[in-house]
Amino acid sequence: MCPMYAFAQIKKDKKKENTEKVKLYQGTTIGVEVAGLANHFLGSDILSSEVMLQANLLNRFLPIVEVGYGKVNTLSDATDIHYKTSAPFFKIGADYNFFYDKPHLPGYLFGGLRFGFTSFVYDVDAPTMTDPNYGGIIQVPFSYHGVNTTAKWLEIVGGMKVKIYKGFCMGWSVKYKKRLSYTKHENTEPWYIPGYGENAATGFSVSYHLMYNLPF
Amino acid sequence: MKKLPVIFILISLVATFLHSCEGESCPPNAMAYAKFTMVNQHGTAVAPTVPTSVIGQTTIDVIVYDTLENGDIIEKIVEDSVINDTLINKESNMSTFKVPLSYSDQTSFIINYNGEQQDYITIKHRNIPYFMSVDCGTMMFHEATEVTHSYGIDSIVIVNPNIDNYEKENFRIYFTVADNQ
Repeated sequence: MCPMYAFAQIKKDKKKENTEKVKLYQGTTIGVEVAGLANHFLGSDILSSEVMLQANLLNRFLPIVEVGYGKVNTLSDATDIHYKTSAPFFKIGADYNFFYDKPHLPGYLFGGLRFGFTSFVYDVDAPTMTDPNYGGIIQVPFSYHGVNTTAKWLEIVGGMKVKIYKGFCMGWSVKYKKRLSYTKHENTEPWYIPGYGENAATGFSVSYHLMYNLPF
Repeated sequence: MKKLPVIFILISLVATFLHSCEGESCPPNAMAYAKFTMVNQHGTAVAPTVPTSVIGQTTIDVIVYDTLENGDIIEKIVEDSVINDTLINKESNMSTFKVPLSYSDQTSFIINYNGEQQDYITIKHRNIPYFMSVDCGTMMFHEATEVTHSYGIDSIVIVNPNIDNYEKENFRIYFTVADNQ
Protein backbone atom coordinates (compact mmCIF):
# COMPACT_ATOMS: atom_id res chain seq x y z
CA MET A 1 0.00 0.00 0.00
CA CYS A 2 2.73 2.43 0.93
CA PRO A 3 4.71 2.38 -2.36
CA MET A 4 1.48 2.72 -4.39
CA TYR A 5 0.44 5.75 -2.37
CA ALA A 6 3.81 7.37 -2.85
CA PHE A 7 3.65 6.82 -6.64
CA ALA A 8 0.22 8.45 -6.89
CA GLN A 9 1.45 11.41 -4.89
CA ILE A 10 4.34 11.98 -7.31
CA LYS A 11 2.00 11.95 -10.36
CA LYS A 12 -0.32 14.43 -8.72
CA ASP A 13 2.57 16.76 -7.98
CA LYS A 14 3.77 16.58 -11.58
CA LYS A 15 0.34 17.49 -12.89
CA LYS A 16 0.13 20.41 -10.49
CA GLU A 17 3.53 21.54 -11.68
CA ASN A 18 2.45 21.47 -15.35
CA THR A 19 -0.65 23.52 -14.63
CA GLU A 20 1.32 26.09 -12.74
CA LYS A 21 3.74 26.48 -15.65
CA VAL A 22 1.01 27.59 -18.12
CA LYS A 23 0.85 31.36 -18.43
CA LEU A 24 -2.53 33.04 -18.88
CA TYR A 25 -1.62 34.81 -22.11
CA GLN A 26 -0.25 32.41 -24.72
CA GLY A 27 -0.32 34.66 -27.78
CA THR A 28 -2.51 36.13 -30.50
CA THR A 29 -3.41 34.79 -33.94
CA ILE A 30 -4.57 36.72 -36.98
CA GLY A 31 -6.16 35.03 -39.98
CA VAL A 32 -8.25 35.29 -43.08
CA GLU A 33 -11.02 33.03 -44.36
CA VAL A 34 -10.22 32.03 -47.94
CA ALA A 35 -12.89 29.46 -48.89
CA GLY A 36 -15.46 32.20 -49.55
CA LEU A 37 -12.96 34.12 -51.70
CA ALA A 38 -12.08 30.97 -53.68
CA ASN A 39 -15.76 30.18 -54.17
CA HIS A 40 -16.34 33.65 -55.63
CA PHE A 41 -13.34 33.43 -57.97
CA LEU A 42 -14.58 30.03 -59.16
CA GLY A 43 -17.76 31.69 -60.43
CA SER A 44 -20.19 32.06 -57.52
CA ASP A 45 -22.34 35.21 -57.38
CA ILE A 46 -21.69 35.29 -53.65
CA LEU A 47 -18.53 36.69 -52.06
CA SER A 48 -17.99 36.23 -48.33
CA SER A 49 -14.76 36.48 -46.41
CA GLU A 50 -13.60 37.54 -42.99
CA VAL A 51 -10.50 38.37 -40.98
CA MET A 52 -10.05 37.10 -37.45
CA LEU A 53 -8.18 38.09 -34.33
CA GLN A 54 -7.92 35.40 -31.68
CA ALA A 55 -6.21 35.37 -28.31
CA ASN A 56 -4.93 32.24 -26.61
CA LEU A 57 -5.55 32.04 -22.86
CA LEU A 58 -4.04 29.14 -20.92
CA ASN A 59 -3.79 27.31 -24.27
CA ARG A 60 -7.40 26.35 -23.56
CA PHE A 61 -9.74 29.33 -24.04
CA LEU A 62 -9.56 31.20 -27.35
CA PRO A 63 -11.70 34.37 -27.47
CA ILE A 64 -12.17 35.58 -31.04
CA VAL A 65 -13.38 38.62 -32.97
CA GLU A 66 -14.16 38.34 -36.68
CA VAL A 67 -14.92 41.12 -39.14
CA GLY A 68 -16.05 40.18 -42.62
CA TYR A 69 -17.62 41.36 -45.81
CA GLY A 70 -20.44 39.68 -47.70
CA LYS A 71 -21.64 40.56 -51.16
CA VAL A 72 -24.10 39.13 -53.65
CA ASN A 73 -25.30 40.37 -57.02
CA THR A 74 -27.38 37.68 -58.66
CA LEU A 75 -30.02 37.27 -61.35
CA SER A 76 -32.01 34.05 -61.15
CA ASP A 77 -32.39 32.18 -64.44
CA ALA A 78 -35.58 30.53 -63.17
CA THR A 79 -37.46 33.57 -61.85
CA ASP A 80 -35.62 36.50 -63.47
CA ILE A 81 -35.32 38.16 -60.04
CA HIS A 82 -32.32 40.37 -59.37
CA TYR A 83 -31.04 40.62 -55.78
CA LYS A 84 -28.15 42.77 -54.71
CA THR A 85 -26.51 43.58 -51.39
CA SER A 86 -23.08 44.13 -49.86
CA ALA A 87 -22.20 44.86 -46.27
CA PRO A 88 -19.73 44.16 -43.46
CA PHE A 89 -20.58 41.74 -40.68
CA PHE A 90 -19.20 41.13 -37.21
CA LYS A 91 -18.80 38.06 -35.04
CA ILE A 92 -17.65 37.66 -31.46
CA GLY A 93 -17.19 34.44 -29.52
CA ALA A 94 -14.72 31.92 -28.19
CA ASP A 95 -13.26 28.51 -28.96
CA TYR A 96 -12.20 25.77 -26.60
CA ASN A 97 -9.04 23.78 -27.32
CA PHE A 98 -9.77 20.12 -26.65
CA PHE A 99 -6.02 19.35 -26.78
CA TYR A 100 -5.00 22.07 -24.31
CA ASP A 101 -2.85 19.61 -22.35
CA LYS A 102 -0.95 18.46 -25.44
CA PRO A 103 0.96 21.60 -26.52
CA HIS A 104 3.69 19.48 -28.12
CA LEU A 105 1.29 18.41 -30.92
CA PRO A 106 1.37 20.42 -34.18
CA GLY A 107 -2.34 21.16 -34.00
CA TYR A 108 -5.53 20.80 -32.06
CA LEU A 109 -9.26 20.20 -32.35
CA PHE A 110 -11.58 22.90 -31.08
CA GLY A 111 -15.23 23.71 -30.58
CA GLY A 112 -16.74 27.13 -30.11
CA LEU A 113 -19.60 29.55 -30.26
CA ARG A 114 -20.08 32.83 -32.16
CA PHE A 115 -22.63 35.61 -32.05
CA GLY A 116 -22.94 37.33 -35.42
CA PHE A 117 -24.70 40.50 -36.48
CA THR A 118 -24.94 42.73 -39.53
CA SER A 119 -26.79 45.76 -40.77
CA PHE A 120 -27.27 46.03 -44.51
CA VAL A 121 -29.29 47.43 -47.38
CA TYR A 122 -30.55 45.36 -50.31
CA ASP A 123 -32.24 45.85 -53.68
CA VAL A 124 -34.76 43.52 -55.31
CA ASP A 125 -36.07 43.79 -58.87
CA ALA A 126 -38.53 41.27 -60.26
CA PRO A 127 -40.54 41.01 -63.45
CA THR A 128 -43.83 42.90 -63.51
CA MET A 129 -46.53 40.87 -61.75
CA THR A 130 -49.56 40.05 -63.89
CA ASP A 131 -52.83 39.01 -62.30
CA PRO A 132 -53.23 35.32 -63.24
CA ASN A 133 -57.02 35.67 -62.95
CA TYR A 134 -59.58 38.26 -64.01
CA GLY A 135 -58.44 38.34 -67.61
CA GLY A 136 -54.73 38.71 -66.81
CA ILE A 137 -54.96 42.44 -67.45
CA ILE A 138 -53.83 44.15 -64.26
CA GLN A 139 -50.07 44.49 -63.89
CA VAL A 140 -48.07 45.58 -60.85
CA PRO A 141 -44.36 46.49 -61.09
CA PHE A 142 -42.00 44.98 -58.51
CA SER A 143 -38.91 46.96 -57.55
CA TYR A 144 -37.69 47.73 -54.02
CA HIS A 145 -34.38 49.48 -53.52
CA GLY A 146 -32.50 50.48 -50.38
CA VAL A 147 -34.36 48.17 -47.99
CA ASN A 148 -32.70 48.55 -44.56
CA THR A 149 -32.28 45.37 -42.55
CA THR A 150 -30.45 44.01 -39.53
CA ALA A 151 -29.86 40.35 -38.66
CA LYS A 152 -28.44 38.43 -35.70
CA TRP A 153 -27.42 34.78 -35.49
CA LEU A 154 -25.51 32.18 -33.50
CA GLU A 155 -22.88 29.77 -34.81
CA ILE A 156 -21.70 26.52 -33.27
CA VAL A 157 -18.22 25.85 -34.60
CA GLY A 158 -16.11 22.71 -34.69
CA GLY A 159 -12.77 22.41 -36.42
CA MET A 160 -9.07 21.95 -36.30
CA LYS A 161 -5.98 24.11 -36.54
CA VAL A 162 -2.53 22.87 -37.59
CA LYS A 163 0.87 24.50 -37.90
CA ILE A 164 2.29 24.74 -41.43
CA TYR A 165 5.59 26.55 -41.11
CA LYS A 166 7.00 28.61 -38.23
CA GLY A 167 4.15 30.88 -37.11
CA PHE A 168 1.90 30.08 -40.05
CA CYS A 169 -1.11 27.82 -39.52
CA MET A 170 -4.20 26.72 -41.34
CA GLY A 171 -7.55 25.59 -40.07
CA TRP A 172 -10.79 24.05 -41.21
CA SER A 173 -14.05 24.50 -39.44
CA VAL A 174 -17.66 23.48 -39.88
CA LYS A 175 -20.31 25.91 -38.69
CA TYR A 176 -23.91 25.24 -37.78
CA LYS A 177 -25.80 28.54 -37.94
CA LYS A 178 -29.03 29.41 -36.21
CA ARG A 179 -30.80 32.62 -37.14
CA LEU A 180 -31.96 34.65 -34.12
CA SER A 181 -33.72 37.60 -35.73
CA TYR A 182 -33.96 39.71 -38.86
CA THR A 183 -35.97 42.68 -40.04
CA LYS A 184 -38.94 41.73 -42.18
CA HIS A 185 -40.56 44.41 -44.28
CA GLU A 186 -44.10 44.41 -45.58
CA ASN A 187 -43.09 43.63 -49.15
CA THR A 188 -39.75 41.90 -48.84
CA GLU A 189 -37.54 39.83 -46.64
CA PRO A 190 -33.80 39.47 -47.21
CA TRP A 191 -32.82 36.46 -49.30
CA TYR A 192 -29.11 36.67 -48.53
CA ILE A 193 -27.69 37.95 -45.23
CA PRO A 194 -23.96 38.94 -45.29
CA GLY A 195 -22.06 36.66 -42.92
CA TYR A 196 -25.00 34.28 -42.48
CA GLY A 197 -25.76 33.21 -46.02
CA GLU A 198 -29.15 32.36 -47.48
CA ASN A 199 -31.93 33.42 -45.17
CA ALA A 200 -33.07 30.11 -43.69
CA ALA A 201 -33.78 29.35 -40.04
CA THR A 202 -30.62 27.23 -39.86
CA GLY A 203 -27.66 26.55 -42.12
CA PHE A 204 -24.27 24.92 -42.44
CA SER A 205 -21.04 26.27 -43.85
CA VAL A 206 -17.44 25.17 -44.11
CA SER A 207 -14.54 27.61 -43.63
CA TYR A 208 -10.86 27.42 -44.39
CA HIS A 209 -8.56 29.86 -42.61
CA LEU A 210 -4.97 30.82 -43.17
CA MET A 211 -3.49 32.15 -39.93
CA TYR A 212 -0.37 33.60 -38.42
CA ASN A 213 0.65 33.43 -34.76
CA LEU A 214 1.92 36.90 -33.84
CA PRO A 215 5.34 36.84 -32.18
CA PHE A 216 4.11 38.60 -29.04
CA MET B 1 -3.11 13.89 -34.90
CA LYS B 2 -2.87 11.87 -38.10
CA LYS B 3 -6.55 11.09 -37.77
CA LEU B 4 -7.56 14.76 -37.66
CA PRO B 5 -7.91 15.27 -41.46
CA VAL B 6 -10.07 12.14 -41.65
CA ILE B 7 -12.28 13.42 -38.83
CA PHE B 8 -12.55 16.78 -40.53
CA ILE B 9 -13.45 15.27 -43.92
CA LEU B 10 -16.15 13.16 -42.27
CA ILE B 11 -17.60 16.19 -40.48
CA SER B 12 -17.56 18.19 -43.74
CA LEU B 13 -19.32 15.41 -45.64
CA VAL B 14 -22.02 15.18 -42.96
CA ALA B 15 -22.46 18.97 -43.00
CA THR B 16 -22.67 19.04 -46.80
CA PHE B 17 -25.20 16.21 -46.76
CA LEU B 18 -27.33 17.96 -44.13
CA HIS B 19 -27.13 21.23 -46.06
CA SER B 20 -28.22 19.56 -49.30
CA CYS B 21 -31.16 17.96 -47.47
CA GLU B 22 -32.52 21.35 -46.44
CA GLY B 23 -33.77 22.10 -49.97
CA GLU B 24 -35.53 25.26 -51.03
CA SER B 25 -37.81 26.77 -48.45
CA CYS B 26 -40.44 28.02 -50.91
CA PRO B 27 -44.00 28.00 -49.59
CA PRO B 28 -46.16 25.19 -51.03
CA ASN B 29 -48.72 27.69 -52.38
CA ALA B 30 -47.51 30.56 -54.49
CA MET B 31 -51.09 31.85 -54.81
CA ALA B 32 -52.99 33.61 -52.04
CA TYR B 33 -56.64 32.58 -51.69
CA ALA B 34 -59.37 34.16 -49.60
CA LYS B 35 -61.13 31.41 -47.70
CA PHE B 36 -64.84 31.73 -46.90
CA THR B 37 -66.89 29.53 -44.61
CA MET B 38 -70.69 29.46 -44.64
CA VAL B 39 -72.42 29.11 -41.27
CA ASN B 40 -75.92 29.44 -39.87
CA GLN B 41 -77.04 31.80 -37.12
CA HIS B 42 -75.67 29.33 -34.53
CA GLY B 43 -72.22 29.22 -36.15
CA THR B 44 -72.67 25.70 -37.54
CA ALA B 45 -71.37 24.99 -41.03
CA VAL B 46 -74.05 24.95 -43.71
CA ALA B 47 -73.94 24.21 -47.43
CA PRO B 48 -76.34 25.16 -50.24
CA THR B 49 -78.57 22.27 -51.31
CA VAL B 50 -77.97 23.01 -55.00
CA PRO B 51 -74.79 23.16 -57.11
CA THR B 52 -73.16 26.52 -56.48
CA SER B 53 -70.90 28.68 -58.62
CA VAL B 54 -68.72 31.62 -57.63
CA ILE B 55 -67.95 34.30 -60.18
CA GLY B 56 -65.24 36.83 -59.38
CA GLN B 57 -65.73 40.36 -60.67
CA THR B 58 -63.53 43.42 -60.81
CA THR B 59 -63.59 46.72 -62.67
CA ILE B 60 -60.57 48.06 -64.48
CA ASP B 61 -59.68 50.37 -67.31
CA VAL B 62 -59.19 48.24 -70.42
CA ILE B 63 -57.37 49.20 -73.60
CA VAL B 64 -59.29 48.20 -76.76
CA TYR B 65 -58.35 48.60 -80.39
CA ASP B 66 -60.89 49.90 -82.90
CA THR B 67 -60.49 49.55 -86.63
CA LEU B 68 -61.64 52.63 -88.51
CA GLU B 69 -63.32 52.56 -91.94
CA ASN B 70 -60.05 53.65 -93.57
CA GLY B 71 -58.29 50.65 -92.01
CA ASP B 72 -56.43 52.55 -89.30
CA ILE B 73 -56.32 50.94 -85.87
CA ILE B 74 -56.79 53.24 -82.89
CA GLU B 75 -56.21 52.57 -79.22
CA LYS B 76 -59.06 53.41 -76.85
CA ILE B 77 -59.30 53.14 -73.08
CA VAL B 78 -62.63 51.86 -71.80
CA GLU B 79 -62.86 52.97 -68.18
CA ASP B 80 -64.39 50.82 -65.43
CA SER B 81 -64.81 47.75 -67.60
CA VAL B 82 -66.29 44.84 -65.67
CA ILE B 83 -64.17 41.69 -65.84
CA ASN B 84 -65.81 38.41 -64.82
CA ASP B 85 -63.99 35.20 -64.01
CA THR B 86 -65.77 31.97 -63.10
CA LEU B 87 -63.74 30.71 -60.18
CA ILE B 88 -65.93 27.83 -58.98
CA ASN B 89 -68.33 26.08 -61.33
CA LYS B 90 -71.38 24.23 -59.96
CA GLU B 91 -69.83 22.65 -56.91
CA SER B 92 -72.05 20.54 -54.69
CA ASN B 93 -72.20 20.61 -50.91
CA MET B 94 -69.96 23.67 -50.72
CA SER B 95 -69.70 24.86 -47.12
CA THR B 96 -66.28 26.49 -47.63
CA PHE B 97 -64.61 27.92 -50.70
CA LYS B 98 -61.28 29.51 -51.63
CA VAL B 99 -61.09 32.20 -54.29
CA PRO B 100 -58.35 34.58 -55.46
CA LEU B 101 -58.73 38.33 -55.13
CA SER B 102 -57.89 40.56 -58.05
CA TYR B 103 -54.86 42.85 -58.26
CA SER B 104 -57.34 45.76 -58.24
CA ASP B 105 -58.32 47.37 -54.92
CA GLN B 106 -61.80 45.87 -54.95
CA THR B 107 -63.12 42.42 -55.84
CA SER B 108 -66.73 41.24 -55.92
CA PHE B 109 -67.99 37.68 -55.80
CA ILE B 110 -71.33 36.52 -57.16
CA ILE B 111 -72.49 33.32 -55.45
CA ASN B 112 -74.88 31.69 -57.87
CA TYR B 113 -77.13 28.95 -56.50
CA ASN B 114 -77.75 26.88 -59.67
CA GLY B 115 -79.15 29.94 -61.47
CA GLU B 116 -82.06 30.19 -59.03
CA GLN B 117 -80.72 32.85 -56.68
CA GLN B 118 -77.61 34.99 -56.24
CA ASP B 119 -75.74 36.61 -53.39
CA TYR B 120 -73.13 39.35 -53.79
CA ILE B 121 -70.04 40.00 -51.71
CA THR B 122 -67.71 42.94 -52.29
CA ILE B 123 -64.29 43.14 -50.64
CA LYS B 124 -62.14 46.24 -50.56
CA HIS B 125 -58.51 45.26 -50.14
CA ARG B 126 -54.93 46.45 -50.13
CA ASN B 127 -52.55 44.50 -52.36
CA ILE B 128 -49.13 43.54 -50.99
CA PRO B 129 -46.56 42.33 -53.56
CA TYR B 130 -44.14 40.09 -51.67
CA PHE B 131 -40.63 38.71 -52.17
CA MET B 132 -38.94 36.10 -50.00
CA SER B 133 -36.42 34.31 -52.23
CA VAL B 134 -34.96 34.55 -55.71
CA ASP B 135 -35.81 30.85 -56.14
CA CYS B 136 -39.49 31.21 -55.24
CA GLY B 137 -40.54 34.22 -57.33
CA THR B 138 -42.86 36.97 -56.18
CA MET B 139 -46.30 36.58 -54.64
CA MET B 140 -49.30 38.85 -54.22
CA PHE B 141 -50.84 38.99 -50.76
CA HIS B 142 -53.84 41.08 -49.73
CA GLU B 143 -55.24 42.76 -46.66
CA ALA B 144 -59.03 42.99 -46.53
CA THR B 145 -60.17 46.38 -45.28
CA GLU B 146 -63.94 46.28 -45.79
CA VAL B 147 -66.60 43.79 -46.82
CA THR B 148 -70.19 44.42 -47.95
CA HIS B 149 -72.88 41.99 -49.09
CA SER B 150 -76.37 41.63 -50.54
CA TYR B 151 -79.53 41.13 -48.46
CA GLY B 152 -79.62 37.34 -48.83
CA ILE B 153 -76.67 37.15 -46.44
CA ASP B 154 -77.16 38.03 -42.76
CA SER B 155 -73.64 39.26 -42.16
CA ILE B 156 -69.99 38.65 -42.99
CA VAL B 157 -67.24 38.74 -40.39
CA ILE B 158 -63.61 39.31 -41.34
CA VAL B 159 -61.99 36.55 -39.27
CA ASN B 160 -58.49 37.20 -40.56
CA PRO B 161 -57.85 40.16 -42.90
CA ASN B 162 -54.46 38.85 -44.04
CA ILE B 163 -54.79 36.82 -47.22
CA ASP B 164 -51.49 35.13 -47.92
CA ASN B 165 -50.24 31.70 -48.92
CA TYR B 166 -51.02 30.16 -45.53
CA GLU B 167 -54.52 28.73 -45.71
CA LYS B 168 -56.81 30.00 -42.96
CA GLU B 169 -60.38 31.18 -42.59
CA ASN B 170 -60.57 34.79 -43.73
CA PHE B 171 -64.32 35.44 -43.95
CA ARG B 172 -67.32 33.86 -42.22
CA ILE B 173 -70.67 34.24 -44.00
CA TYR B 174 -73.71 34.04 -41.74
CA PHE B 175 -77.07 32.89 -43.15
CA THR B 176 -80.36 32.60 -41.34
CA VAL B 177 -81.49 29.04 -41.79
CA ALA B 178 -84.71 27.54 -40.45
CA ASP B 179 -83.84 25.13 -37.63
CA ASN B 180 -85.58 22.20 -39.36
CA GLN B 181 -83.28 22.50 -42.44
